[in-house]
Amino acid sequence: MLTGTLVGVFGGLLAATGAADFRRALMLAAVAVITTSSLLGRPLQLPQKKRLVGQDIIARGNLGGPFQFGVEMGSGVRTYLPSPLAHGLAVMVALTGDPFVGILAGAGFGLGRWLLPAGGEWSGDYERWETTLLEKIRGVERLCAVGLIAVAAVLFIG
Amino acid sequence: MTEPVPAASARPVRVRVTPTRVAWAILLAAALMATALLFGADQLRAPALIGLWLVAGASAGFAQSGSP
Repeated sequence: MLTGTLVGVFGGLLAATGAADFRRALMLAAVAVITTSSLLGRPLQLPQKKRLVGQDIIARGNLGGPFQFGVEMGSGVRTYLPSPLAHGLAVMVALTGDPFVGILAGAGFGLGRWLLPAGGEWSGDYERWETTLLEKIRGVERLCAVGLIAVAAVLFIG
Repeated sequence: MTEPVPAASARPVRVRVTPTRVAWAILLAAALMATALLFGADQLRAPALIGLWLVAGASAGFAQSGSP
């Protein structure tokens, strides 16, 4: 949500620079390229930290440690992003230039990440869930890309 | 006189949760929100818009599930 808000504010500042039509076309093209790469099973390698937050952080204090872990992972300061769809979402938020949209998209992103452990719990067999996930991750990413394309089409073209 | 129904037949059907099904559920949610936004009543527009952004975030977030 923090990153989403910042991206929303950044988009607002970008909107003040003018050339709205050109910027919009460029950003929509970026979203199209990113989502299509996922759809085709050849996800783009976009800039990211590629570092994990140390588990030892959680042990530091009752609240401070887990909070720092969540902030660092959620904001992308230290995390892996195997799919470029997060970048696509960031471009979509920047396109609106609305921090509130950033908060919503950020909350949804957190919800999507939470679905990984929650789905494992609901499945009743976490090991099997993880094995299936690793086998089907490209298919899962394709479905998620279709979802993001549909939302982008409705919001920005429809 | 009818035969009693075996207890086993009354067991509820349990749908197995898989990553692919979760992804389909997100996609279905996106389709529902989009339909509500495009064809729903005016009162539905704001909640549908909020729902669409949440679903967009959830799509991008769940796609990261292969991260170490």
